[in-house]
Amino acid sequence: MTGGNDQPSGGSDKVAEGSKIGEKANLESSDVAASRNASAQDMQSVESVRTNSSDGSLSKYVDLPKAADTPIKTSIQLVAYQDGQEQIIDKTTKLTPNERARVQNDRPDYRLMEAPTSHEITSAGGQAASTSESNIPVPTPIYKPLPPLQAPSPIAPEILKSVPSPVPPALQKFEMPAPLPQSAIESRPIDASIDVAEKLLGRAGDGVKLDLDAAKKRLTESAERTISNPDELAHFKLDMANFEKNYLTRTAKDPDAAVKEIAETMNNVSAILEKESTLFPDSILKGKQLNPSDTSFRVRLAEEVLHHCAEPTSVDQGYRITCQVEALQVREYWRDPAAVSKLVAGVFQTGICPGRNGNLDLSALTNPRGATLLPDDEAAKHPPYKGDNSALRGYASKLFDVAAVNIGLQYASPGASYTEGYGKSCFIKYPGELKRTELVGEDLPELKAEHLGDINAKIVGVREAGFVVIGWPLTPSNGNYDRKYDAAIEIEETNTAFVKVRNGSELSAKLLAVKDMGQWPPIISCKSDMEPLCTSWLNTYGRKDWGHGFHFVNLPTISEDGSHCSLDNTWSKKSDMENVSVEVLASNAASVRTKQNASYLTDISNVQKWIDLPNGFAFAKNDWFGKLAADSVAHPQTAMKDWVNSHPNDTYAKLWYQNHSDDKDASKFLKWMRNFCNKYHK
Amino acid sequence: MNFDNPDAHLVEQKTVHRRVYKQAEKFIAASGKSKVKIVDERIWCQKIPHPIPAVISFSLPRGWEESQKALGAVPGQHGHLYTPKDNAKVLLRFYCSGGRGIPEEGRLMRSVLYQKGSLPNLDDTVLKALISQALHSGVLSLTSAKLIDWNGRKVIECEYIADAKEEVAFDNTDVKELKGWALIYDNSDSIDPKVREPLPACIEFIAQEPDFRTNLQTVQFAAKTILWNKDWPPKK
Repeated sequence: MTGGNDQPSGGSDKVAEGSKIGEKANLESSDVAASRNASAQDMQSVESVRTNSSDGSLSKYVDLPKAADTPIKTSIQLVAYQDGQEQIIDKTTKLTPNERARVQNDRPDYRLMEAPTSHEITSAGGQAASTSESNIPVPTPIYKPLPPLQAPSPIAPEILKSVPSPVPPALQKFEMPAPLPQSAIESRPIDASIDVAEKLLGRAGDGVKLDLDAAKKRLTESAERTISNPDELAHFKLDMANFEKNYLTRTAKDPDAAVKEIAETMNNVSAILEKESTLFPDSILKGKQLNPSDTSFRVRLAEEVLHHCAEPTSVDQGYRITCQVEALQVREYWRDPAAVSKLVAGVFQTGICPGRNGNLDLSALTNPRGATLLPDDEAAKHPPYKGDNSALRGYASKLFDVAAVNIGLQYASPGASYTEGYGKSCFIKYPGELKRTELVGEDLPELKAEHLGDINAKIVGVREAGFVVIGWPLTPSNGNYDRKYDAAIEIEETNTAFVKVRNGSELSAKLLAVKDMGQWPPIISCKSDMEPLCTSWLNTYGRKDWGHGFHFVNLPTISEDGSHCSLDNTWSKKSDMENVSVEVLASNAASVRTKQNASYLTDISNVQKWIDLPNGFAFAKNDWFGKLAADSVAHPQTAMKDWVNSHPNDTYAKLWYQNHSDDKDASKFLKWMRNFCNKYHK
Repeated sequence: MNFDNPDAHLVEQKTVHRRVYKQAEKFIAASGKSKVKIVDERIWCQKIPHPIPAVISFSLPRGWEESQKALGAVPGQHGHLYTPKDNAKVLLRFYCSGGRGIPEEGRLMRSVLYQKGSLPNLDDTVLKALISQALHSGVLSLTSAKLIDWNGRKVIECEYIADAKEEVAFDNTDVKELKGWALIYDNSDSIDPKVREPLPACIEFIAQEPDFRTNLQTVQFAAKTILWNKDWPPKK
């Protein structure tokens, strides 16, 4: 159940007749690492619940994962039967006094740092229902040394049950905490000792090592054959070595998978060097060069891809307004260079990239107007191996951006397409409109944080959870916390990518958990006109008020205690920051901006209806879900379509079907409605 | 009507260089010995969202309107697009790219606008790149470029052939090329972070050949009403 996101089972959690209190916590936490690992496992197991259960049955809630080594139980749920319906009576985050005492007595040297307490909102029926459960569970408590004479003090449940009022962030008054000394921040992985890489390589199997040697040989030969400039060739070979070393250092994959990833990446780069594009033959590309003597774009593309693989933070967004996919690009070069190099090579060679329902042919965008996939003005000026300082977007990043935005638009605004001009202009062509719309705002209006999960899933082939950090709940400047809004977001599938944070300590804990579960580096959505980005703009552009709106950045490193991190800003290398306070970052993390979106407004109105109606969802679900579930079993190919056609007033199902046309048997719909039901149904 | 001189009934202004009435909607401007023309709406460029860099105000020709606000998607970019109410394919644009070009181009632009008395003898490719970096439209080829004084500010005046594919107004048409006229000036309101020098900005006018010829004089007249800010040349 969704409520079980924070509630590792530790045993059976089935509901019995009458009322039943969930099993007590298994409090066998052993150390900080185990605690974090368990948190990571819990997060993964929650994801598996979301992605694997598709039986469509509504007679029971989703089974909780069996996490035998889960150290701390932080949530207890009271469930009762009323009128034949399961009723969630109380769901709150707490530990009993005995549990607390046991933890602290078992671990006399450590103090339990309480995880952020959830907000509770009293419903119309007087029942308290937690609204804190996100897809990412409340972070695992962190243990810190305790002063020796301090006795453990149990916390009364009443305190934990109290309803904390959301604290408006005092953004203007916020003082930046003193920065940590540089030595306290981890060194960047790219500078990490080569020993780590060698050890990982040593543990890889012989088969993958042979593949890697073959890929390196192939790439070296291709480079020597095609790169005529000796300096560029030397840089290329250096990037090859750096890529191997850095990737093995930064990856969370096992040795075999990591080595395989490197070999595949090198083969993809070799393919760019070896094969002329069928879409843009070299003769066309040559016409886009500033000077005939410049390195050809095909070679530069291979150089740029390899350079980004070696140093993912070298990705720059140039003049464009594509910060969200740029941050995603950094993350994918960091984690899945094979996937991103395959995407870039594929788009360059054929114009084909993965789409929402099969492949997406981007070459159609170049005809009849525009030169979306051709090197633009910036790419032409992007000097090889000086890109980090030029603050321009290279050809490789351009191809990724165009592909990623168009993949995202298939979810955000099906039928719309994104194109770019040769200069600085960007366009979206909406379905049914004859003309393109030039983008003149601060960002891509359709593409939002939640679509990063979709784009990422299409490119890397796996739907990853917990890598986009967003402010939660909404800040007063962006709309007060809204249960309906929360609910509307919650039912969306892509929110599995979100890591919702409310304050600095929560962000610290969650960032460490993200790292431990192998989802590093995270992307964070920040307000551009506040810290830490103000300082970033000041350092780069001499003006604090340079930025406006929202901006997505990556967090490449974090200190051991999670209090400080570094920030990779794709507005040139100069705007990167070290030693950024996580507290400040959390206070200005931007909420997802879905309120302006018409489809979400529709969602909200539906959700409001469900929530406001006394037991509306409970009454509806047996009938509505039951029939739909039966349909989906009987007619798996047409269940959703038939349902929408036969129930024109069911606006939510209609909306869902419009946005999830691949969900023919309604299994996704049922799964997410079930999650919603568990979480919000009173 | 005097068919030999259709404009004979108009009152001729003699040596009025700039006359500003307090009522913005009845601003009358003239230049040199030209006939009096009444233009609508004085645009006070520093009082609008996304202020037009380095321009305090100018007079929009009668019958024109702002068709797109805040043309500028990334920090540092500014832009406003104006068109005649009856013809959306005639574009007058005030624009600053926000810089971020390569440093060599920035230095060259700086030397052209501040130090040289005329355009240096540049290679066509270099000159085209120099001018392209300041313009919003895509330059296919340059027709002419010269350094002149415009209302007391040194600007590069150029004519060029623009790529129609870059302009949304010409979507779904067979038009491939447009005629362009532009003034490129330094934008002392914004500083290029890399070279710590003003960014170039432009006033560009693009249209198809017949529209271009019809409206060029009107646009140039409107451009003549520009009141530059007084920070030029910037103090070092």
